Amino acid sequence: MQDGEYPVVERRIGRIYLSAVIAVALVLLLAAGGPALAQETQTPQTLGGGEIGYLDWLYHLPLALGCALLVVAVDAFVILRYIRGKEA
Amino acid sequence: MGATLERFVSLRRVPMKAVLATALVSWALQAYAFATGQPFYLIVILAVIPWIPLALFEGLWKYQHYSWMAVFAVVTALQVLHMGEHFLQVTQLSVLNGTLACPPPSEGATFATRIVMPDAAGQPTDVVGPAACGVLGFLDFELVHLVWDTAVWLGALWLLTKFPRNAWLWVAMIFASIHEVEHLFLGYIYYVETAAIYTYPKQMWDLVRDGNILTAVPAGIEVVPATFYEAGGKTGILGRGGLVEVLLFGEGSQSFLLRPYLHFGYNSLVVIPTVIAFLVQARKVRDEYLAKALPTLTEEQMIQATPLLEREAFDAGEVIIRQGDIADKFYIITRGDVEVLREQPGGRELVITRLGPGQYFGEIGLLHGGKRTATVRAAGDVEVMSLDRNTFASLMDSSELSKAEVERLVRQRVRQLHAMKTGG
Repeated sequence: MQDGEYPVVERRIGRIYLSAVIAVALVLLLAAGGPALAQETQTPQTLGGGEIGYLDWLYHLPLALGCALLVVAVDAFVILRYIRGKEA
Repeated sequence: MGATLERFVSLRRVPMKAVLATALVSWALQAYAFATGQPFYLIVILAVIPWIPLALFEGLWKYQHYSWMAVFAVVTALQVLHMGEHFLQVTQLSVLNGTLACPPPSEGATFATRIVMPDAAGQPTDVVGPAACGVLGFLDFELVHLVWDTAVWLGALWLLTKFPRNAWLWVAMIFASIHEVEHLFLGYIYYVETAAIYTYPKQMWDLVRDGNILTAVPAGIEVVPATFYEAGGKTGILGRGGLVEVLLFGEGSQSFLLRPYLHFGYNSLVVIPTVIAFLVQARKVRDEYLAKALPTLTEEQMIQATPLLEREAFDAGEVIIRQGDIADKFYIITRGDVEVLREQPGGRELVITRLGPGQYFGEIGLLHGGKRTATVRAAGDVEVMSLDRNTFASLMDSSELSKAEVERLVRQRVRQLHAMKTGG
């Protein structure tokens, strides 16, 4: 590694990480709005007093993706941050 | 492999009488819990609590000697215990005819220990079994698994920063991450989506007490308001009737695994590579005190010498080596201080120096002359790690740098002894 290269890598990692966190936040917000949206639109499968169905699961897809993104973002941050570390 | 595990499992710091006393207390608590009809999880918790201080003392010793490998051992143990929890739940469910009702129906703080299995209409059948909730699943089921799996995931991730070349650890981390996604999803819908805007057919129970045994008997099904979690969301992302199955194959599909079996699978995929990763890494462990005392040894030499170190403990005032005796061991101090004494004509003792943790003694007799040139006495409670003559000689022969370093210290100590003799 050349002198001065590491800070550039660090900054790039920082940008990737921040972007991922923002994406996660947006997705989670969307997910949290899912059930509320269901109430407003009076989806039969939700407020009609029925059991959960296809649409209810569809509304929760963003939440599942958000959770996956959050885990991937944390994994990526830690791995990229320490990938150059020496084995103990 | 036996020696590798033995290093982490055997007790080095805690005396056997403390182990026996702890076992007695643990058994007494278990007996009390059984006699008073406490639930299974409480019996297990009471049995484990007395061992915690002992485990902390022993864990501290292992951390001081083996550094991050001690933490690796803890993460591995945590994961194996978690696997035990899932193994027990699957056994309760499929072998013991258990019913998945977690937490089980309760009467005040007392949980039903037996459940009569309901039929499709929620009425009693002839089958009776336990609540299939593992041990700690009797408590807040989602919280227990969310906390436990998050700890395992973060633990595996953190270990990767310490042992990045361990391929099995990467495998474990990937599966722990997938498992964590599932539990974050479940945790969110359990704790955040609390509005009861759905309905679901809830199994009702009657409770029948017979002495200490509380049995839950099915009492039909009622359609009740429910949260998303209660109405079926608890199957999660990959469980039967969960997000992926419904979105890909429709609402009627029943081909995915039921949640208990799915999570048993997740844990198997994490625990197997974790244990292999630990065993692979444990073969490369080195004692930190050896590394501090002889820093010029190569990593390989330290790894080879570590299992040959023997722990010895001495009380205050006890003589560890005596001047004039045949030299047979090399000692590294790991706890407490020692006094190095020179016996003068007439029986008087002169303190030459005092040594502490990380320093060593006994090398002069091994390298020159074969006899001890001074007496070493414990100044307080002392713990040392010793190497026998042959191992020490072999280490010195294989490491010119270390031999030169030890010889330099020997010359310095001999000069100090000579100065004492001549009164200089």
